[in-house]
Amino acid sequence: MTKQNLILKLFFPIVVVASILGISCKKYIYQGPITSTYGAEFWTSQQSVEQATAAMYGQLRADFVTADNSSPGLFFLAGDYVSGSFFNASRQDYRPLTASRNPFGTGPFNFNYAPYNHGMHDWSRFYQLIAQCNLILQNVPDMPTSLFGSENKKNAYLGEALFMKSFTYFYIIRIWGDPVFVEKTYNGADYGNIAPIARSPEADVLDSCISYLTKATSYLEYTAGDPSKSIRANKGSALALLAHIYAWKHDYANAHKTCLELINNGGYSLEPMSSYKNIWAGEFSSESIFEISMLFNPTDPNFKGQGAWAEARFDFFATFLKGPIINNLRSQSWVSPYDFIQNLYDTTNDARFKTILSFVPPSGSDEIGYMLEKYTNFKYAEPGTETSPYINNNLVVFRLSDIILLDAEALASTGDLAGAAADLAQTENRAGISSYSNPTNQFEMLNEIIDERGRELIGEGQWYFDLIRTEPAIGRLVLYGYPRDRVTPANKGYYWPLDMPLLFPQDNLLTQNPWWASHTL
Amino acid sequence: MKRISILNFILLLTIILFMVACNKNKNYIIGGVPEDVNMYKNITSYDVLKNDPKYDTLIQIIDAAGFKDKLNKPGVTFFAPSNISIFRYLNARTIQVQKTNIYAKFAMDSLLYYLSNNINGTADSLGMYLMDQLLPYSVLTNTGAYYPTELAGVKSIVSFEYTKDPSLGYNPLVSSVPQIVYYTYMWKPYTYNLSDANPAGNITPALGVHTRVITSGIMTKTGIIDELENGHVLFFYGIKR
Repeated sequence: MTKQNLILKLFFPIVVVASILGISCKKYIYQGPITSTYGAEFWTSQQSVEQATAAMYGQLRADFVTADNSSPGLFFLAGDYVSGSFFNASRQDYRPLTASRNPFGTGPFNFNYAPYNHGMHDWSRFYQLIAQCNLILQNVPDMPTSLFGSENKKNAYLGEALFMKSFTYFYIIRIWGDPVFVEKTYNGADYGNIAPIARSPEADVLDSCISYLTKATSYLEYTAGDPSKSIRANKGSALALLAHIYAWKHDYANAHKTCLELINNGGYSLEPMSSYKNIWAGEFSSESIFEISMLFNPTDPNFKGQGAWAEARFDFFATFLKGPIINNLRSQSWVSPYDFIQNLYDTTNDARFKTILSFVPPSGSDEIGYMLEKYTNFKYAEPGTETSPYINNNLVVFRLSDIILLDAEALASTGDLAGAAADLAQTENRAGISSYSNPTNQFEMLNEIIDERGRELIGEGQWYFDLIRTEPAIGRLVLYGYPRDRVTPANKGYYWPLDMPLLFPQDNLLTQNPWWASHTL
Repeated sequence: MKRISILNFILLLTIILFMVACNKNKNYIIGGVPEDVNMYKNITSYDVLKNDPKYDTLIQIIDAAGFKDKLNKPGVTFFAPSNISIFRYLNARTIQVQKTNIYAKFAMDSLLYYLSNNINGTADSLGMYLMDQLLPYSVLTNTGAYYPTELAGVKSIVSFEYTKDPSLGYNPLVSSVPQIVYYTYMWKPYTYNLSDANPAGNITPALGVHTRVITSGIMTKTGIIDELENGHVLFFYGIKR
């Protein structure tokens, strides 16, 4: 064979092989990892946006149900426990957290067990939620409307994200005060270059939230009396949040207007007393405006481990329960102090007292008092072996009674006592009382409204925030033992402190809350 | 030759290692030192309580009521309320008397007076804690049973209940479920029928007071003592609703 022949003979197969390899190599070289996704890949269908939206609600639930290792959820700690309406004798580190009106009279909470309550001083998890909202708000507007079918559907997702963002900022403000206002999303390219942001005054952030919510109410629809829609943000929930924000800013004229719009057009109605506990049954009551979904889902992969992302849970609601009602799985619980309940309720006539509070004698380490029975739908996931217990209720965040009483507060604060009395009468009549104290002036009326909010919304993560909001008007915190100079608007000693050793390294423009900056934890 | 002796050496070492490792450590699971259950076998019930500082107020009450002989009768079971239970009782009675006279106090001297003169049957009430039979663990059941007490017309439920509460010692990793003795004082009329479907654990505060025994089965010379929890109020005063 000549050299030429050889080359030809070899050349052709080599070329063939090389071209095959060359073409196919391209595919292998540029093949991305099979299961991961990234921005441009993700925001390409309505399904993705649906998933991102579901993640928002899951994150909010996870944020509410945890605070610390083996501690009750932040939702009830921040909203109820520190008002003195409950007491937990078995957790020594919570004793300083209650207001002075408790059996041990330990005085207003002073956080001196700060190391044990990291979760309550750390707002990071709420910023995860804000980041998720910002992601949706940044990416969805650029997606073509054809993916969603209509402009309305696309805007609905934007409305939900705007609502959740405003809700989260409002929640941060009610617990810690001035937030860090984060507008943009960060990605891997920003790593190491994220500029520190100082805290913004809460009034400014609330103004931004008001503008977000005004937009959200135009994007969202009412649920038209369908309780199964209450687990997603809707026009009713946006208006409810807007009313609360106006009230927090003491802009009671706008609060009243917003409440009225919601009461008249939302399609909600008060649950009758005979089926009162349906309010917390989950996606069931026509009174419910916004709920966090916590009903049992058999396909939930997180249920067995009962981690932060589990939908149905035991410990979160079982915080309030002990004894045969949960098959004796707990022998101690949060107990509402005996004198507190006796002073708050007309125990002879108030039907709520008879329905949702049950007397418990002192036992274990718990004192005499009342057990809250709002969240009592106890079940086993495996009834045969009595394992995997859970409590099949939803967490109600906004409901019609709340808005009616907020409207009463708004009317009373602007001088319309007759209107306030008419609103008060709605919940009081349902409970079987004509009027608790027959108020004749603004101070008495506001007192009765706040007490009525306590009677109606006990154990729903609301009352402590009500006490803060009305502090300038009726001074309940001072009545319960807080030093007068602590709860001034300048000092804001009703807010929790921030965990500066943890958070300051991440944002060196962060400052501690005024009261805690000058008083040791 | 060398290889065989090294092999032998390794074999010997392994045998020694196994022998040492296989020694059962007697105190493996127990957290602490096991108590001698017979330490009170030669002391009467009254003296056992007398030697325990957390019952010194109870001893005063027993003396004032003339209850010592009943307590020391052979073959009785006594459910002992601690000093704290008596303190709760005095507080509750003080609140009651202060409804008519805000400066009044109901303290130990009043209680002892009531007991020594058996006013309103106060001394007889001590009988609710005494049962004229031995109630060791072999007799008690998870469902519980009514036992007559030394107070006429009063029978209480004593049960030995399984608990799945982690704070009471239940651990899902351990196969045996802990059991705790409960003394349940029932409000009259006695309508609750105990059965396996309705054990003592299902009794709500409206029906009776389900009281935990924190230390049970103290075997004395004359009988058995069970210590009631500190949340208990003496004579269950003021907690009926």
